[in-house]
Amino acid sequence: MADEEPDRALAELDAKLRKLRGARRAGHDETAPSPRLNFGSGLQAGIELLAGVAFGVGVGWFIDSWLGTKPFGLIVMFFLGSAAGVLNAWRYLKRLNADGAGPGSTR
Amino acid sequence: MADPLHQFQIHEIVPIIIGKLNVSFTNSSLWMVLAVVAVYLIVTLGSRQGSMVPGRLQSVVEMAYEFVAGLVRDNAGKEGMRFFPLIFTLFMFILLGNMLGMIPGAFTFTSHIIVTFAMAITVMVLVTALGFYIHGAHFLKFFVPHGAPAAMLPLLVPIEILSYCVRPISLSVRLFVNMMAGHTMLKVFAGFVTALGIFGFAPLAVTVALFGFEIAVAFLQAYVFTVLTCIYLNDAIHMH
Repeated sequence: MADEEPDRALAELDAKLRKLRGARRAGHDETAPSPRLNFGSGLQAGIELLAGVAFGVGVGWFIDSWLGTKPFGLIVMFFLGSAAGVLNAWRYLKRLNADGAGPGSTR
Repeated sequence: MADPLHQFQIHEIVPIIIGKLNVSFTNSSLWMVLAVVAVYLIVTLGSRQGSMVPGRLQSVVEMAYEFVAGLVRDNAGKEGMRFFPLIFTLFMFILLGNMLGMIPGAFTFTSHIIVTFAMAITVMVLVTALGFYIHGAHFLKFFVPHGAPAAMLPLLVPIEILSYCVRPISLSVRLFVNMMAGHTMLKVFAGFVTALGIFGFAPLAVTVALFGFEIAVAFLQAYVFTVLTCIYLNDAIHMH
């Protein structure tokens, strides 16, 4: 019985907060959910990109020296590695976005 | 001015050579042993009493436990909790490695890519083996993106496989780059203090600020490594 009173109060506060947040979001675009971008996240996206390219080139080089397909392994793996790097960077940023989205998310 | 990269040099303390293999006990090994001993002491001493109202050490251990348990549960689900001991060990080892490295004169073993890569490749081999153990050959479907037209698969599957193989590299490079860059920067600014004489207070202030920043990075990187391990574990357990 005693629990219901604070529950209702909390619910009212929640609704009020939501209304205020909604009003602010409608007014300014800057309060829209945005990922917390900083130097660190930029660096990490860059590492993802570079690691993909470097790994692709490394595998391509290895395939070439192993099978003797001189330029083609390197060329193909360079492009595939770059694509993998972009994919990883994109996934990283997407995860960042999901983490920082909205006040409802836990973290 | 002091060489800012001198701090990363490995030197042998007890030279051990087996056949052609150099397995000497180096300064890097020494600090790894110290990190393990520190983790062991903190956790055993902190959990020895088990009092209802935790003391200082006990609350540190409890916070560490709660923190890592929360991470595993949030990112890898309930099934991931089976791997809690591994992840807790990884987290504490990296955290203590980074933090002990902040002691002036100490050696930061996480600033060497071979150390971080060894940890990352261990995680990846384990996670891949786990994926095949749980799902059998179905785990290969992990590399086939959902809803992609069949004509695109010959292109997409190699990309997915490569992107999976790149994971240990980006995982290890991230930790090593952050630690190495931070410590180098700290050393460069500290070198300016003596070089500038009376005006040395300016770089000194920067060094103090950077030091605080570096402690934050030390924690954050241990956290990031742990979270990514949990996410990869989640991929292996649940697939997509």
